[in-house]
Amino acid sequence: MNSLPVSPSPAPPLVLVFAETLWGKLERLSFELLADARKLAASVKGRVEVVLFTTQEQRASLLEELLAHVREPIHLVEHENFAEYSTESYTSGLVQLLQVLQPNLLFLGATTYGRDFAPRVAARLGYAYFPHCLLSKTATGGKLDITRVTHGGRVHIQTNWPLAAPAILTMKAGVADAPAAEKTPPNPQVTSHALKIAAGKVRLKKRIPPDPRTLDIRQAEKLVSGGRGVGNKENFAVLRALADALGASLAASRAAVDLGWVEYERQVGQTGKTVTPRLYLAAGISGASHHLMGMRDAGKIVVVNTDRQAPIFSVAHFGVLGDLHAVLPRLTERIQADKKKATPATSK
Amino acid sequence: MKVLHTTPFKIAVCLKEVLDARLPLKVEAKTGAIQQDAPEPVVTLNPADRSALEFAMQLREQSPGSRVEVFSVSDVAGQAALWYGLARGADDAERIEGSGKGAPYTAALLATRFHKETFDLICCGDETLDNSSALVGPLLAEILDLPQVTGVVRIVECSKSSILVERGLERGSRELVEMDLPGLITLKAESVPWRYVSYQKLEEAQLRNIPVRRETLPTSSNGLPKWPEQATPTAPRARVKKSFTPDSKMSPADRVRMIMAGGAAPQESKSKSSVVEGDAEYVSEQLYRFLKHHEFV
Amino acid sequence: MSEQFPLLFSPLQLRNKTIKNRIASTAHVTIFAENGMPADRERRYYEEKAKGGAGLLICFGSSSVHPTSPALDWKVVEMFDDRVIPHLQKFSDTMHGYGAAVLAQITHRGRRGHSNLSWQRLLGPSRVKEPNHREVPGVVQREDIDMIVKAFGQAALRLKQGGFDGVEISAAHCHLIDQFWGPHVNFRDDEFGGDLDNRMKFGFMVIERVRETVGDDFIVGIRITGDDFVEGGLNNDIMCEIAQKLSEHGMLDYFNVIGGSGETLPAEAACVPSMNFPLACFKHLSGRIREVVKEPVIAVGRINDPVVAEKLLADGQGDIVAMTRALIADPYLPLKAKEGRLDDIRQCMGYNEGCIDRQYRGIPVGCVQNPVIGKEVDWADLPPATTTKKVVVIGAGPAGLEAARILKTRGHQVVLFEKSDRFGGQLNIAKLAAKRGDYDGVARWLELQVKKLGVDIRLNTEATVDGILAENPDTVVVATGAVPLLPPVPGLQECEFAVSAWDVLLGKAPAGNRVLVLDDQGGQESVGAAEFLLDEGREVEIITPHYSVGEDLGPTNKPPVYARLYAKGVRMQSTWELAAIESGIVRLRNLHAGVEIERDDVDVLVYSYGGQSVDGLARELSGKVKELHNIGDSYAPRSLHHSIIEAHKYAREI
Repeated sequence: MNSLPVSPSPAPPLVLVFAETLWGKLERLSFELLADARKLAASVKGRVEVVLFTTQEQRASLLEELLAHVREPIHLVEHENFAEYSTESYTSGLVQLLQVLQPNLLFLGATTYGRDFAPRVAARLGYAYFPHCLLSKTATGGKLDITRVTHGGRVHIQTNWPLAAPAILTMKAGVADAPAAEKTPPNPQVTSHALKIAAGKVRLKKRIPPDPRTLDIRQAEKLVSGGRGVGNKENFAVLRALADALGASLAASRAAVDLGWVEYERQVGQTGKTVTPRLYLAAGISGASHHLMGMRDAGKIVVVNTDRQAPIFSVAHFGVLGDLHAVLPRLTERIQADKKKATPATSK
Repeated sequence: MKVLHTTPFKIAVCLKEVLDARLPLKVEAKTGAIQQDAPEPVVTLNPADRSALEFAMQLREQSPGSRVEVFSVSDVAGQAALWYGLARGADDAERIEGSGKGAPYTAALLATRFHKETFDLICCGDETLDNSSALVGPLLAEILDLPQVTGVVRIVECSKSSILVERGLERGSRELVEMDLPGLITLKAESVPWRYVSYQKLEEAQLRNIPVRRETLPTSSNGLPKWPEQATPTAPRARVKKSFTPDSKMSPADRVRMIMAGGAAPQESKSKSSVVEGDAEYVSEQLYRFLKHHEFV
Repeated sequence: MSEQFPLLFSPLQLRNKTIKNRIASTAHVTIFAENGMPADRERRYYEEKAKGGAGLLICFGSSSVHPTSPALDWKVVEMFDDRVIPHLQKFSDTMHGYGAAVLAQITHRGRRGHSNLSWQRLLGPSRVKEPNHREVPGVVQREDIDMIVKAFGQAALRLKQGGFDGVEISAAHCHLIDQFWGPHVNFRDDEFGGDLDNRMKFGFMVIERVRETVGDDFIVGIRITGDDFVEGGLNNDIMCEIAQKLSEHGMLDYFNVIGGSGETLPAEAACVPSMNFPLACFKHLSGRIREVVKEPVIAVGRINDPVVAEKLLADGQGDIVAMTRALIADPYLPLKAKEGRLDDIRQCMGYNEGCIDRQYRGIPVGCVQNPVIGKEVDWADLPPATTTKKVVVIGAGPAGLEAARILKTRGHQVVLFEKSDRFGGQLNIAKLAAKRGDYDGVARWLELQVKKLGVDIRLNTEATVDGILAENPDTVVVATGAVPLLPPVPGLQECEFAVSAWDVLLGKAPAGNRVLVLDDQGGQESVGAAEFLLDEGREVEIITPHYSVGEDLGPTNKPPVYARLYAKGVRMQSTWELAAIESGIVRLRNLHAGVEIERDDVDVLVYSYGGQSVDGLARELSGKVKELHNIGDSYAPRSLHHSIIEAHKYAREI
């Protein structure tokens, strides 16, 4: 079933990147795919374009976020059926768009949504489909070298595919380092496509955000982490209160876990877990190297400590020289007060 | 799970026997053979498929008269998965001859079979331990023109016309969705607790004669994604994640200093200026503003 | 239980051999060889690692391919002599018995070293002396090249004949091959000098000859630096180019990437990064090399823990992790990691004074934490006690803890008294110095172990003679440690602005901007206190009667400490001692000239004379108990290494 009509494509190869959204927010993974697509396109003298599905309400905010990173042309499909994910609406939308754009390659995240609808798109269009790929290196002799991850990451499958025959690749997070935000807004061309989007036979009933209290700290977006400086087990209530206010999960240093103040599952660093949240707030943690190794890749690191010499300040993006017992409760109050103010305004 | 009606269900469960990739594997460099570091290969029913089976059995228990049939596209050796299904209590098992030609082929064979007989619900594992393509479920649904929910972690409610399930999303998020029946769901491994299957039951199952079907595929590959015929397994080689590297043009002493500082040397000087001190009221306000500025609150 | 470490415990094929996991012990000099041969001491040392589950053992650091390689200073294995083969066979048989792959490193050190032991002329690509050893080499002639290339092939062949799985060619630490590579060392105008291809020619000849001699069924790897940290030397950009050419050449099976070089003191210190460096500090170097080569890469440098190792593998910065010192601190790390017993792993803290810093001084490798290292022949097994005794141990510093651990393991009934509320003794002070935070690792592990073993622990309990006798012990082990020594220098005891280095770390230094630190102890005490005060923004000068400040700091510890002290503005003067303090004036005396100078500009005087034994209890107990041992600093103030070994020795014999 592999006899492919190799159509002459005089235009430079087109690599499309599907910018995925989860509940109205762009997935960071999409930017990693973009970085990968740029590398590949550069090696085959191709071009990169980006696809975004959205609704009228979300259009402006999503586009703004996208434009911070994207200098390539954007194809936008706006439809009320994109208010929530459905296999059928996404499949029908993408199938129609690909028929118009005729790309050589489409990159999607190997997320729950991506893996849900991309196979159906590939089937409908007769595209090749490569699930769970790593960085697609380069094309040699008009063929794309593809590495697929199988057997729970213990095997890589090497294969190649003619660039001229369209293919969809899904990739897991971590395929590439996401490009930094553009310094000046690049203002790329945005094309809107009016398409008929099917409604699905699957209906969203409820969104269930993760409970930060039970979430694995490796998955958490925000962590409030305490160490020996917290003083005792009871004092961790201060950190828990802040974590609740922030919607963060609680973590701890090895010292705090050794002392029995926090359960082992929440230990960051050596003999514990390596975490990469967007926010890591370290309170009363001195920052032994075994701890730093476990959290230094976090997006923003905030440190509250009474000892200015504590090594953890060396990795801080924002440091507070002060007593966590005085600072954190005030911060918690401040956040709660803010929330109270915000609630009536938005409920209208 | 709540069952909201008493009409019996007809449920199909797709199973696969796989090499247990949770154990250390090696790839023979010359032949590309994937092997465990053990004298005998350790195989297992694919864990996600086991969730699918387990769920189907629970649904049958709560809805008297329902039937569960298990299917597997495999060669003779792969029928162990079906034995397990029978031992767990499936009403019938059927092996569809064929293996090793990739997920689209497997999906097409299953679809040919299900075209001949309608099931209220088809349950699959969301991905296999070995090929990990997560492809068979969605493709099967596509060919049969069924709605689907993939990545299911919990079944909440089931009626004759619809099913209410939770699917797992990224980073611990979930959503509750309702799907019309007939339809197809794929379950994540360990989403349904497994029940113990006794050796005795397994031995009894192994005595049963499992019918084999030979389906012929339509010659046209329309409605299927293309799939490469040539693929070489290799030992995994992880992508190099960028990490801080001092510029070779800097002096050796500066390079060593930056490495000792964990690459944080420039940041270190910057952070000195962004350390605030003062009374708790003031610093907590500054901290709040930092968090606000970066949209953490 | 390897679920937590799927990558670390996945096998990897190197040529014809499957390595069972990604944990390697890389080549290092042990100073164990006897007459140039790897004898029982060496074999038993490695056997523990093989037994502990390491997948890849690269043994015999810098073993010589030719007598002209200056190697007697490190007592390395003489791979140039056929009589090594039976030793190799016995060695490889032992390792293979545990499923480990066994390789050895071969090298020619060129100009690195001294000729005053072998009285063989040193050889280098050009007449340029190495800054570290400062002996001018002769220039390698064409016939020398042929001789050395042939010797590499023969040495590799001996390994094959001795049942080894492969060989590692050293082109790191500024040995002969990388001396040829280095544009700052190689000034030849023949075919072996000039552009990079010419400079790489000698190395290629070696690799080709080795491959030709050993055939296709033998692992041939290479050790290179990822950045030598030498001015005008082999920086990361050049090394990526070299690695790419080596990979394209296609004869090697792996690249083993270190940071640093043996050439200068700071670069040499970086080679085996101490606790002054972060964990996995050279992952960027192995990562960049790995991007340009197709072969597996061994990542090196403070990878002391399976969590760090797994992350490094996941981040693609290596295919194999060198956990060399981690396996010295605990040869059973792989098994414990596999079983999920992470807290049982005695973690290397990068202290280095027990292993590499001894080796650089020509004395055998040990481990400050693991007393068995180097003594496996006698101590690898710990036999249970023949008669169970009740033993009271006093003091939960490292000596007391190690004694309690061993006594309890052997089946004795153990009571441990500690007057403070915490374990670790002096470590609780020492760890307060900059970059010494990892120092409490030794206490943490011992604490976890004695608790797990069920030692009867009495914190906040000052041991008295009556209290001890009330326990009715068969044996008492006193490990009451030390306090800072205050010698009878005139005026010192009464001096109000004098403070001990220990108290400085505890934050008890008096106010005052101008600080004079007296370094008599010669170790970390004075420099730690000095840096502490520099970090507080004070002006600090260190004087010492020795030839240098921190005279006894090991070669891998001194350069980083100096780098930070100088960056923070310290002043240092050697060969001066404290003569007296009189009415606020500090008198210093030059040790050699005898002249004295007066200093009236000292606001704070920090003294560091080491410790003074706290042995009152030991003296009081004498004659009152059946068996009494005074161990560690309370016997005589010495190093951590002394304390642990001494505690272990006595506890083993009770």
